Amino acid sequence: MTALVPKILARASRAADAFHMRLKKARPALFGPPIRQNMIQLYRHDADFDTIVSIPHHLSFLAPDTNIDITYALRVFDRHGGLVGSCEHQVKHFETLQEPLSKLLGRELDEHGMFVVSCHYSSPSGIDFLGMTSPQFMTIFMPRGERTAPQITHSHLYMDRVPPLKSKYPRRSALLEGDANLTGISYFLMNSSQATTNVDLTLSGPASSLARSVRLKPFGTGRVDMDAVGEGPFELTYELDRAINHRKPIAFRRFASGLITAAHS
Amino acid sequence: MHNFAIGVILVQRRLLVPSLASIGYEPGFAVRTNASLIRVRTFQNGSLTSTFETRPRNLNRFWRSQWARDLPVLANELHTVELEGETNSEFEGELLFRNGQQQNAVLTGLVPLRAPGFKFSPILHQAHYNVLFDQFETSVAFANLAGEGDPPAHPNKLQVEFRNLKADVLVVTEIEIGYNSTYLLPVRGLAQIHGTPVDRGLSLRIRGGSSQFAIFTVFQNHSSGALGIEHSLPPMYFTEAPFNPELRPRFQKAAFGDLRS
Repeated sequence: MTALVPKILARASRAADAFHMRLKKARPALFGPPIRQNMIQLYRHDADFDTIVSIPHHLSFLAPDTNIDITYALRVFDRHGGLVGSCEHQVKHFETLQEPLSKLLGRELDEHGMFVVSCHYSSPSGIDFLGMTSPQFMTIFMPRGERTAPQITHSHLYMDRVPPLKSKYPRRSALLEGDANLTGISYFLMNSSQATTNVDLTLSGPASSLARSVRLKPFGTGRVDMDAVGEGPFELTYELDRAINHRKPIAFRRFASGLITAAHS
Repeated sequence: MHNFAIGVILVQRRLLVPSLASIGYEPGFAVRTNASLIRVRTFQNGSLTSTFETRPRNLNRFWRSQWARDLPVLANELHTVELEGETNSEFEGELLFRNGQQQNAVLTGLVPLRAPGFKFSPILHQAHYNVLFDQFETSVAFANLAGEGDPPAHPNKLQVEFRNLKADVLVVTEIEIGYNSTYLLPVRGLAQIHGTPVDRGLSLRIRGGSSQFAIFTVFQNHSSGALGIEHSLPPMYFTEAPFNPELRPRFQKAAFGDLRS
């Protein structure tokens, strides 16, 4: 019964969201274009990586005969969920906005944290056939060292509109880790909701398992470093105490060569 | 009739594993599956050259040197993974790449296997995220599968439009990609061939083709060979139009109407 209430509330939230989008599709001039807003991603601004954000003018590719200005709004949080700052940038037809996140924001970032992207169109006309649209972007983790390659992740998840109630949510990462040169894995977890969320992680290898816990403040980000050496295979399982939207850790693997690679899980 | 209906609903799917041999990487894959059989096919120069079968275990991780050990490596080869009996239509596979110093992985979905004669829709790839500093190269890796029989006779052409980040069109060119193959497009390399300046950044619009594509962006560090990789974002990430039957025709006309067929 206790697990049922969070599920009902989550379903009601999704239904309200869908109704809101239907209103926008029906009357975009009145309610604004139907845009999925508040897409989130991790940034790093530490000894290993800085972060570049690449945002296309997506309407140019989808509806090239239009000419709509897009204003992107970015909000940046520190690892504890505190707002570092916000900014807006206009992108015109077929332009691309690609800059370090700190430059876009005009101030220093925390070592890591979450940033949020939303957008506004200068006009809703001529794009009704696109239905609901989404301001996608790519996040490029630029290495500080000379030997590592830039790492890249896409985004597809959004901030929670309503904080989910407590409900155990177990999950298994689809990434199977392990390499002869692997020395460790850092997992980054983001809290997409305005409620504190706790996560228990277990990395199971052929010989033993490692267990860690992390407490994510509202809009906060956690880093969990795991010693994972060799071929493995290593498998990550974890349990959240709230089913927040963004549930998949981003893995950064460290190798004996000093190289680092990343993947979303 | 019943079998026909099931055949229509249950489209076979394949995990496309591109070759990154030309930049020094061995491909592999990992899956956790309820399939009864894993079948890996290797295509070279568009034709099927080897097939490897194995019974799945709890965790399955395989490398090119295991499934096609005796086959000389070609840069354009493509590997497909069939998970016979897998029932999860949202299944994601993990693509792996290693070079003896590091290992990369990217999770990606399976693509439908189409029957001979299937009319493929053109694809749209927004390659706006290129890293053009001197020490790196950005490549677009196209893995494509037309089918498992003889490749079609007509060419698999895509238009590549280069713009700088301020939207100025720099050059429009065309590439031809062999069916059932891996094709690596080096962004700076192709720009230099056409005398295109890269100092104001590059954004590519790539359209066309007549097969099933899985597209990846690859960053490589020239000095170390280190790699970063991510799958592309097809238009369905940006708009619901491709999967909405009422919206799709207008979207197709708007996005591809100016392309020569």
